[in-house]
Amino acid sequence: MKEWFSPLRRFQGEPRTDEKYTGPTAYIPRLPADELSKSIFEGLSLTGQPFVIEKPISEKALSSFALPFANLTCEHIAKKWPSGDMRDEYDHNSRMKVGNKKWHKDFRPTQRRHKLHVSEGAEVGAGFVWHVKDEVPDPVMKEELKQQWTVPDVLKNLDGINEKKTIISQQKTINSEESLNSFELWFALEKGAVFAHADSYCEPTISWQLKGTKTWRLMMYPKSETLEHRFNSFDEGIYGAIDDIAEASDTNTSEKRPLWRPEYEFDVSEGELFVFFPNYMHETWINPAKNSEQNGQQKNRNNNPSTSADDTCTIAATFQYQLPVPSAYYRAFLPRMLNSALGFEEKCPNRVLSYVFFALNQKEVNKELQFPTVKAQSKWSTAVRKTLHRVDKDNNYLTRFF
Amino acid sequence: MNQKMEKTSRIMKKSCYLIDKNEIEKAVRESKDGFFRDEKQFGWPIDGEDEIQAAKNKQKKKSGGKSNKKSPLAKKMRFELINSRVKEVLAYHDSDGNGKIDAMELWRSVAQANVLFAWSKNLERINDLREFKRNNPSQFSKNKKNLLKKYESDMEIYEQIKHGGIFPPTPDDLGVKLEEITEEEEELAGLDKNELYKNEL
Repeated sequence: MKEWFSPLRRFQGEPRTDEKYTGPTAYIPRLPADELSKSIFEGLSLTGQPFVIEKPISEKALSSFALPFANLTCEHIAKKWPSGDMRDEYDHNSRMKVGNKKWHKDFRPTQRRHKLHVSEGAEVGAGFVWHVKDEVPDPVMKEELKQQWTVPDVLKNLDGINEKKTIISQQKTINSEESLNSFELWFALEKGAVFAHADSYCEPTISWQLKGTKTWRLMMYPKSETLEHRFNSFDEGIYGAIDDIAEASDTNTSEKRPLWRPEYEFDVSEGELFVFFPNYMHETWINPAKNSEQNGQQKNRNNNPSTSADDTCTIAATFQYQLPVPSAYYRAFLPRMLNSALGFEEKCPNRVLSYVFFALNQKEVNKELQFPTVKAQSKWSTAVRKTLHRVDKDNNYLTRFF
Repeated sequence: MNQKMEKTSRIMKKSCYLIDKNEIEKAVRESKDGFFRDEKQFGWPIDGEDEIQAAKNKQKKKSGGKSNKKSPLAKKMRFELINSRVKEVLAYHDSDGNGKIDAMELWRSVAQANVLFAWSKNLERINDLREFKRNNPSQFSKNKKNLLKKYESDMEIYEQIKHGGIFPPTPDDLGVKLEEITEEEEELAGLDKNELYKNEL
């Protein structure tokens, strides 16, 4: 029987990582919106490859390209929806009314600075987030905000036919509805920053840069095998964490290296969308050097030399999409998914359990999870046989040489 | 050397069940609670109602009103969901990327899920135990024996499996067939015995 697995016969478990870290050198895929086909989008989503969607290239597509909250500055938003209730990222807890001028006029430094952050320990500011989905005081205001929303083309581009193969006129899709019902607005002045963290969403997330340029750094959730490898993956926690799985081969000293070793660093400019997947650790920065230049160009275009803090107030919308679930990505990183807040708090990996057992309902999933018992392995084979007999309706066979 | 060559000549051909896209689709369609768990997790009504209308309908439903699951939009979304689930399930299992799921791929997924979800559950138990020890030191030492006993057997099996205790199933286990390969078939398949021998080492 071992012929089936001869290459793995002497395999004793996963080797420990000892890679040399040379900085965030990975290349982020960038695709123009009008060249992103449905199949490319699905492929990237299923495997969990983060990517940036650039503005369309063709003139035709560019002419119909529209941003949500177009032509609205932070000040406009504050005047239009003053009773909205935002969360203050200074302490991730305090509240701020949208109508309060302070948030878009006055720069306010964060409580701490971090040398490991992309700003390299420079003074940075705390921003504000307005969770439109559940921080809007009344349904009428919510409808007004939804009116400002634009669904990105990539989320509209799904099969528009129903089971009887008739075309349905409505443009709504599961992803378009999800974007409409999940978006939140992020506001930050120049030097604004978000420290490294992993979100608690089980779904892929898109950040749409509506105003200004944001610099991102990104890292896959680190390998995690035991309780000792758990760390605070929420704001700033990873900066203080030490990597005790990987051996630092790039240094001969006994000095332990930090866990935060981002793979990607890139800018997302106005109009671009950045797509990333559950448990990806990320940090951001509104780099003044990159944004001042843009503001200067804007002012020159408008022949308006006056400066106000509101000119430097950047806006991004963040939202989720449902389909496809990044199933191959969940599978590939299942151990670290389970041993992270996304696993032990949010239970996100449980969503793929029904895929494993082709289960008809939750009860069946629970029944098939046989471990731990001494006879577990024979029970797994029984589960496979049962599934094959139930699902493989035509009993077809594959012949292979081993 | 001759002995080793003899060993490689015992190459088998395996016949194995395959699940294709159509079969995955049938299974997904049959499923209500399993594959469609996410439908319940959407934060918005799948039948296309707006929020205000949804609140009104909810009231109606309480008083015996009918849901709108058969609306064209709800049907369209179900169609989208099924289409996507088929791709997701295939992507989850299909490690060789041939567009089909074979018996061994399915077995690996089942074994992995069993081991990892049980391991994760055990980590949580140990975590709880530590919390308990920290918060109730006197009670912990009083009940130490019983508390540890509770986890011992689970951990023993987990350690056994983690350190190489998992063996692949036999063809009989999975209900697949094995046939001996003929010399002619070997040649037709272009198998280089010496290359195979190298891999064995």
